[in-house]
Amino acid sequence: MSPDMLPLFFERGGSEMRRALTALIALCILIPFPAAPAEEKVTLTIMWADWEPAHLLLKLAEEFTKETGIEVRGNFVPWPQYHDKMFVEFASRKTSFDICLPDSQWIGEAVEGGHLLELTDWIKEKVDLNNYPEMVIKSYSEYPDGSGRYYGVPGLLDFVLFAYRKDLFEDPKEKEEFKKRYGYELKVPETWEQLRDIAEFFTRPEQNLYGIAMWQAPLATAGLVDEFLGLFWSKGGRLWSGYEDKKVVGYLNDEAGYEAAKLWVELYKFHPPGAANYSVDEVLTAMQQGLVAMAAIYAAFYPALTDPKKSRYADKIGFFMSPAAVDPSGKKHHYVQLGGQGMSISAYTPHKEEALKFLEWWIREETQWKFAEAGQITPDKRVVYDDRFLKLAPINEVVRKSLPLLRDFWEIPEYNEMAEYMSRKLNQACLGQITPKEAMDDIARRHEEILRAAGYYGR
Amino acid sequence: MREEKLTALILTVLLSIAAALYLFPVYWMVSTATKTRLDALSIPPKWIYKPTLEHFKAIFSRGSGSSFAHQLLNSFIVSFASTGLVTIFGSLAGYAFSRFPLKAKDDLLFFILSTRMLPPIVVIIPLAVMYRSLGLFDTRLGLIIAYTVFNLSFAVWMMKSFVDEIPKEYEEAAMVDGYSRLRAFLKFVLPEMRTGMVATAIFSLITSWNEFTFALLLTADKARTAPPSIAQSMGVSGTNWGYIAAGSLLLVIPVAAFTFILRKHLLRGFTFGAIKG
Amino acid sequence: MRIGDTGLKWLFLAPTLLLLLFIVVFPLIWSLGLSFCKYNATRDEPPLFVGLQNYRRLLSSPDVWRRFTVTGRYVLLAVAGEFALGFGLALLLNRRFYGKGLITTLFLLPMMFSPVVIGTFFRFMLDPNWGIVDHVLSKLGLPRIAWTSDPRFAIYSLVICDVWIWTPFMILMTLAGLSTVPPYLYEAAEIDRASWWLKFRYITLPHIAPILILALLFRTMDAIRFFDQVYVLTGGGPGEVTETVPFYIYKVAFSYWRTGESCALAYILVIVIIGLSSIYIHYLNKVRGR
Repeated sequence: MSPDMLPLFFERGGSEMRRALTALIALCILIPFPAAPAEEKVTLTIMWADWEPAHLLLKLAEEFTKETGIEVRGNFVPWPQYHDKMFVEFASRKTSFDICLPDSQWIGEAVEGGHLLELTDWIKEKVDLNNYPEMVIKSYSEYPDGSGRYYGVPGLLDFVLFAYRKDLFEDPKEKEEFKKRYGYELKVPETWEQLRDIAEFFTRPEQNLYGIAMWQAPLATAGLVDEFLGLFWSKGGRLWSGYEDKKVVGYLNDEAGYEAAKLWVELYKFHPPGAANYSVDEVLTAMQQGLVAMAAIYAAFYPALTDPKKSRYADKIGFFMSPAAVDPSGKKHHYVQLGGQGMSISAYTPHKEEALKFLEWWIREETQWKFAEAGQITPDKRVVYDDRFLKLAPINEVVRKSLPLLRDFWEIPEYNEMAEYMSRKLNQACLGQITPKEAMDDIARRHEEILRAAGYYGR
Repeated sequence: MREEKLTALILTVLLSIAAALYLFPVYWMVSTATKTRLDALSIPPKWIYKPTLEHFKAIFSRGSGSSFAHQLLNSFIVSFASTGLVTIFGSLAGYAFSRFPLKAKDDLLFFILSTRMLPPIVVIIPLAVMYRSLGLFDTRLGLIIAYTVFNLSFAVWMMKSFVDEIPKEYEEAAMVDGYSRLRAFLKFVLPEMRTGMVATAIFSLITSWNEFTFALLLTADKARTAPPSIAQSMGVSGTNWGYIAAGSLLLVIPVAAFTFILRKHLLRGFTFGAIKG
Repeated sequence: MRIGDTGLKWLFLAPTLLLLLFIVVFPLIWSLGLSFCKYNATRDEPPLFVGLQNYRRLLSSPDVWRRFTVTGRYVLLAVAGEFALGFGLALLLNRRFYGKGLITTLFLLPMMFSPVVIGTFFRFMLDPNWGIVDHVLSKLGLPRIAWTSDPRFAIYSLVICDVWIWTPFMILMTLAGLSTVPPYLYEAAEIDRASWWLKFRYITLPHIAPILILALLFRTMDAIRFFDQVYVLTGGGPGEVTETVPFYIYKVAFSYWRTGESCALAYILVIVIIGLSSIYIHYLNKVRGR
């Protein structure tokens, strides 16, 4: 359209039409970005989920900037899209970030594609691995397990723990009634069997109170499997025969596996109605609003329960560690599901030296203390086993006790499909569409199919 | 006339009630936007509560990343520019398809339609690769192009359909009077296409204004629009319901205003005394 | 300067065709090519040509058929609901009443929100414990329903949400279509004292039919290929009852990283869409021919 034609058109169009079109055309002539200041200094960009720990990290990084002159910026993405955003950038073989904090199970997916910078030599030189529990290093740094090759340092420690209503647990009337019914004292459960009894005891639909809320959604991330595995392992369950030959049938669905699935499905009965899609937010809400007596959460979310602005029972909430269990042969096991994120460097960064400096600053005891003092969780033993740590957050005693018991699930790239299938089948079992045994048999068979297709059993 | 006014009054009342019922979720969003988390998730839900503006404040004082104002500016530029392009390109192509003879016209139209058939999720990776190599990653221009392409097939089909309804005699008569085809199109046909252009523009604006996946995956910080950081906010307290509700309400204002401004061109018989419909 | 018709034709078509060719063709070919390969977009290994293996595997898997059935039910219920509601409302909105501009804009409002937000928000409103919907139901003496997590109702929670968002689209399109009806036709009919139904049947409907079919075509295509609602509202659950094809494509593409397989399934979906749109276009040509 040549400019002298435009008035012709406007003759017939209304005046709003004219204004709107003029505005549109003006906007088509692009407004340029504000000119960026000439950059002499290196700026590091960190990619993490858009949540409070990330904002805190950025604030602490001001110290790092003061010390080194290297600027630090955040590229934070909402949790539900975080994985996809990171891996789409990886897939385009160029990243808009230098440092990232992938969720612990993503490490295989990222390393197998060559997207994370290998840090083995640097770690051997600069990091004392004795500062961390072995499992933490395996989950956040090492891949494959036991290979001695490292791709990150521990970032944010996270794991499953339980919240409970102290006012209910300490009520003398409840205690008396519980003892009458179950023959032992009502206190925070040490085993999953006790947890079951207590959940049953507090399930009172007529008072709109239920026993427990746990993640039940059929998802790979923030879904059922995250919270099921603590029970599964403590019951003596095994995901596979071992990292070497990865046989699943007959291992995952052995007697211990069935028992774990059976107990999980039984626990579902003590959930509030409609719990089959519970994930992070629903479980927190159920606890905040006093709908349940106990809830299983990831430790990072504890402030949601103890903040009086968010939680109706903020001053009445206590925490206990993921319980132990007895396997079918009578042996006791105790494992806690690990989550959290390591801190890694993108293989595509042009600022390798600076990024390494940042990691070095991050793992300093001093920095870890500052992180912990702001209420966050660190796996650094120098901090966790110092008694000063216990006062920093209401969950820290549980943190210290859980630290040696942590365990993480598959970190091979196929974790996603395996975890999701497991969540989905157990979700169906909870809804009564299949039996727990059918669920476990199905899962074992499907897991072997996935592993076979991925080439783990030879081609 | 009396009877007609009575019918209009009854219709007004009925439609107002229907609108109120239909828009209940929007009311609930307003209520959630002004509630603390404690109130928003209360069991049972609360009708009466002490309103708070904390969520609106939180949006404007975001802890990190680019500011809401910056993202809003990006949103404005990207979606209005692409809406303008879509409407103009679509109208031109729609006219051409309707009026001119063309070899394999149906196939060409079908090709244009087929650009809207793939689930967008499978083209994200090739698009990201392409944008990287063309230097379009994290630029407004990149998003403008993406959204324009996104809506173009709709615009072409829609506008062709509209031109089909306009009698050919319009421009033929003008051309007999000595107008060139171009001038006849601009002076006589284009104004008749107004309703179609407005409907296309509204729909394109809505789609590009709210688009979320491409906006997140094809940008870093500079060109990111507002929806990605509003739509799925989750912190250590769980989903930030109030924040999402407040942000969505803020974001809906410009689009609603745009629609309201253009309403006359969409509706027939807008005022009393106009033609019956 | 005078431009001939041929020149004008290409001048008018060029921006659209060039832009589409420039942006769309590479991704289209990329994904079509990969649908015949075993490939993982995050790995460095080059695509391995496997012929029709992806298609064969997908088409012989009962899971895939189950997902197509779910998608079909969802799309059919949602699009039909939107059409019925939107068309009816638009006919009313096209009559004369007070506050027309405002009320019409209000009815268009739901479509202006981000569908992702609305999906998330419906999940919140439909919760059996703290959701407002069940609260109102129970006050009315009706039973509480676990909308998003009960296998019997989950699909309807998706449909309700979709209908709520996209009914305005049908209103918008119907209104645009109604504006193309030349007013003198009604005036002539008025003189002949034609009934409301006759006017509707012989004047309104033939004129708006092309736009209505277009509206249905685009709405059907979009309902089939998007997965936002499923992603935020049910996550495919409970169990797998709301797992639609595009949601599964998303998972195969971004969680399982079987890029080749996801492309193959996307093209199977495209073939379904082509089939459906051919039916729509057939009817479109038929009503235009009249």
